[in-house]
Amino acid sequence: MKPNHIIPPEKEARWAAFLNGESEISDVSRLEAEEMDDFTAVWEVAGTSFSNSAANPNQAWLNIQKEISNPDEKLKIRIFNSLFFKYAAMIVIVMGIGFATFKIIKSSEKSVDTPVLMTFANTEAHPANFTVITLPDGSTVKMNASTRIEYPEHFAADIRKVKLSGEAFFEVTRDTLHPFIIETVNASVEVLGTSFNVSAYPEAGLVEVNVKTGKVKLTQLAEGNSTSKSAILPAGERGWLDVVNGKMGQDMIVTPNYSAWITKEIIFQRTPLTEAFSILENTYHVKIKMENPEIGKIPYTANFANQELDYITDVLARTHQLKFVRNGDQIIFAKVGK
Amino acid sequence: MLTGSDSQIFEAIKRDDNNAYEMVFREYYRPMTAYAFRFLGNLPDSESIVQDVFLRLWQKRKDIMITSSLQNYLFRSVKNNCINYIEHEKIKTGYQSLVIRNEADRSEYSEFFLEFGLTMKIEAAIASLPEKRQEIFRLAREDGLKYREIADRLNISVKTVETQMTLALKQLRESLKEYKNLVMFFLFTVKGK
Repeated sequence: MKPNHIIPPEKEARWAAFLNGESEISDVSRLEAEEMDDFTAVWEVAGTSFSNSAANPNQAWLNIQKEISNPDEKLKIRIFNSLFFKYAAMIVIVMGIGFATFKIIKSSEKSVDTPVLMTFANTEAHPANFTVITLPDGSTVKMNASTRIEYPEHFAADIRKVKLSGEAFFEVTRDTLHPFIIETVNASVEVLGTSFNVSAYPEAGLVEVNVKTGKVKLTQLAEGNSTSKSAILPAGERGWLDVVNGKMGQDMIVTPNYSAWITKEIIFQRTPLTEAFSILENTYHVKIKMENPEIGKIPYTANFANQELDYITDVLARTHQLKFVRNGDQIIFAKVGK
Repeated sequence: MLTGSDSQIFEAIKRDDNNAYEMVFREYYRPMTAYAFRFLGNLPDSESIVQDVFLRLWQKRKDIMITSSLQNYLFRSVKNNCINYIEHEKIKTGYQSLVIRNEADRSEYSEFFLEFGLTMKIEAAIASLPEKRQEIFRLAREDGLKYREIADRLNISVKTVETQMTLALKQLRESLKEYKNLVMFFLFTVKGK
C-alpha cells in the first residue's frame, strides 16, 4: 500500500464521504482511487464480512422453496423490487417431525456387512489433556472427556465408518471416492475431507457439528421408511439435531468456543452465564453449579486465551460481584451477600 | 468451494436433483450476498437479488447453458441483477459507478468466501472502536444510512458524523494492517488498463 502521510485530512474525509455515497467526487481518477486504497479496502472488507455473516440462508432457502412450489407472478416482481423482504419479520413454521426416540436404521445400502474387527478408544471423565488417535486412513481424531470412538483396523472398501459417543474434533483425509461417515446414536455425519467438531454426548439430548474447513452432511437417522432429514454444512457453519423434538437447524459459527476444549480459546460476547458455565465445564472438565439461579442470566463479555480455569473464575467473579467455592472438580457460584 | 465438480453438480441440477441444488445454495448463498452487498450496500436488497438468482437457476435449469463455471455464472448473474437494479433506481452514487466499472474485469470470486476466522477478526476490530464511533460506523456501513440520517437519529451534527467516520476508517486501517494481503483484492488498482 502506498504511504499515506501525504494525504491531507480533508481529502480523507471527502473520500470517506464518497464511499458512503454522501457526495460525488466528479470523475474519480485512477490515481485518486489508488491514493485512498486503504480506506476503500477497509470499507469493502467490513462490508463483505458483515454481509457474509448477517445473511440468513435458512430463511432464504424457505423463501425459495415456497416460491418453487407455489409460483406467483406477482411475488416474483416483488422480490425484484425488494418490497417483499421489507415486510416485518416473518414467523416461520418449520416442518418438523417430532420423534421421542430414534433407532439406528440397520446400515445404508452402501455399507459392507462382512464382520470387521473393531478397535475402540475411550477417554476419562477428567482428563488432563485431550487424547489424539489416528485412524487407518491417516485421519486424526482429538477426543474430549468421556468419549468413545469405535473404528475398524482397516476401513471397508467403499466407505470409511466410525462410531462416536461423546465429543471429538476430526481432521479427515480427503478421499472423494470413500465417504467418511461418523455414526452416533441419533445421527450420522458424512464428509469428504474436512475438519470439524462433533458433539454427541448421549445425555445431552443434542448432536452438534461445527465445521471448520470443507463440507459436512448431517443426517438424522429416522425409523423405518420415514424420510430422514439432513443438513449440508459448509465451512464456518454449525448444525444441530435436537434429539428430543427431532428438530434440525443450522447457523453461522460466531465464536471459536466449540473447539475451546482443544485450543483453550474462549470468547464470551454478552453470553449468559448459564451458557458460559456450560462452555467452561466442557473445556475444563468440571461441574459448575449456581446457588442463586438468577445468576445464569447475567450477560458476560470477555476473551480468554489459554488460561487456567482458576484465573477465569476469578476474573468472572470479580467482574460480576460473585463468589465461588471450588472442591476439586465441583465449583459453586453464588451472589456476594449484601 | 465446489469448483472441481461444478459441471457434474450442474448436470445433476438439470436432472432435477434437489440435493445438488441445495448443496450449491448452501455453498454459495453467503458469498453471493457479500458480492451483491458490494454493489448495493444494503443487506435486504442483496439477499433478495441472490434469492432471485437461485430461483432462476432452478426454474430455468433445463435451458441454462453454462460456458465457464457454475460459480462464474452465479456471480455474474448477481452482478448483472445488481447493475440492473441500480440503474432502475433513481439514485446511483459515484462510488457505485466506480465499483461497477471495476467489477467489469473480475474473474475470480474466492475472496468473497471469507473464512470465518477472518470474519471474527474483522468483527473484533470493529467492536474495538469506541462506542459512539462504532455505532456511527455500523449505521453507515451495515445499515446503509446517510450522514444526515445518522445525525438525526443520534442527535448530533453531520460534521461530527463525518469526523467519526473518517476516524473509524483510520482506526480500522491500523487494526487490519496484518490482513493487507487479503484486502488488496478489494482495491481498484487494475493492471494493464
